[in-house]
Amino acid sequence: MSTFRDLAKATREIVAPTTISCIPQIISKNPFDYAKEIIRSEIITSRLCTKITIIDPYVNESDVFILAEIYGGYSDLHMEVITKFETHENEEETDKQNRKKRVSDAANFLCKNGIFKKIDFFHSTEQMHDRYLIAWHENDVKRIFLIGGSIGQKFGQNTCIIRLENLRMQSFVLIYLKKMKDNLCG
Amino acid sequence: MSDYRYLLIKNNENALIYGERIEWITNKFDYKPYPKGSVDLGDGYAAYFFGADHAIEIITEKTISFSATSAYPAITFSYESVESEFVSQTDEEMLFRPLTGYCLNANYYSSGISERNNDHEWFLSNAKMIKKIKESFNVDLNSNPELLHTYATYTPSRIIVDTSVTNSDDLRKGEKKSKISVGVIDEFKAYQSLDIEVNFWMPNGTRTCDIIKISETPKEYVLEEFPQKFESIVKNGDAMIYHIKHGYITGISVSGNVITGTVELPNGKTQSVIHKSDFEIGIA
Repeated sequence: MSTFRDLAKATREIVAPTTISCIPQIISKNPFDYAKEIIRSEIITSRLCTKITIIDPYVNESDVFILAEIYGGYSDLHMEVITKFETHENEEETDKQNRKKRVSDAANFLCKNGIFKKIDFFHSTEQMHDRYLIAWHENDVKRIFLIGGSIGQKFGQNTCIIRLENLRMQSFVLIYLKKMKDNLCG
Repeated sequence: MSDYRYLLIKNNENALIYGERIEWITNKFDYKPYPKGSVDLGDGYAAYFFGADHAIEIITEKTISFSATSAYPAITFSYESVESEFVSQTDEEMLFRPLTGYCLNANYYSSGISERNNDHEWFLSNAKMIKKIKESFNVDLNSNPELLHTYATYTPSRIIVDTSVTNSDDLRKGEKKSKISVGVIDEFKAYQSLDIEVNFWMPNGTRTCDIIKISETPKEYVLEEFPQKFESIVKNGDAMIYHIKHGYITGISVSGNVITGTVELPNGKTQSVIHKSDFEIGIA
């Protein structure tokens, strides 16, 4: 460490909150509220984006309302949710269709009440595990985050939020998104 | 006459975790005597602020110590290194300025340099105390974590360069040429014989430069268009005394979020419905 400026730069990289990347549960006793606050301030109330893509293999009706708590409130914000269709083994076809309908009804309720502009669901057959959040302004990608857990976990169990700043990794996520959208079902 | 203004923050072992001393030449507007007091920060941590008419700390090769008084206990600090820095008022300046309106010469006595990575946990578990320090003394350790385990002495340059646009009414009517007056407030007439370098950075990347004696200010400059940035530099020999560089605010965009209603979600939570309200003030 040659100068005090070097020391400042190195220390701030770790300690100073220059990125929202964190494990909310280590910072706050209410990890969901903390995560909601930092995500909203970074991409929602700052008007950074016009569209949000959520990639999460497990999305049910109650998760749609959690999405509304985190991202909702602006009637011009477009939500796009990429999820799996085959979420439960041995699920009957009619149960699958019922689940889809309940999710769709929840989305309609939110849009009708001005919480979102619209919510599109894409059920993919592509293999899926990791969760991502992509913020777009028109067609430009503004932010990509890796989210360590499902929506329903509400940032408990020490779930992380990691902003992906590496362009190569960002490109991988966009290729993955395309693959999922190319393999839809249901 | 100088005041030496102190802020000392110590832990439960009476070791300094942050300290600063500002050497301040007093004028008729200053508090006399400088107020003193303390703030209990919990868990044995405490902050003390006070003034003195001379530097009271004892600095040896590796330690700094403050003898106990009726106002504070004996406080010690072991340091590994000392660095001198000039702290400017440019947009790029990263170092903390305890006096926002002044450039400073600072000495930083630092300890625990190789163990700074371990400070992260301390910051997370002392969030309340850090907030209280910020609220009480405007020292934001979260944004300036390098200040932890640091004792800093600051000497402000008592000089302020003041610029003002003298034809703003004409600019609003569409006039392209701008007139800018540059004046120097040399508080104690200590720098009258020195030169000030004045730079106007224009939108096309060129620079209009002038060097004048501080005693010859204020001076008005007529520029072909409105500058993007203003910069001024004062040196005493090789030593930097003053450096300011900033842009001009020609317009302000206001983005408002107005809550127009609330929706009760089926999960029992509520979400506000927000309406955007944006407008602009000034020259676009």
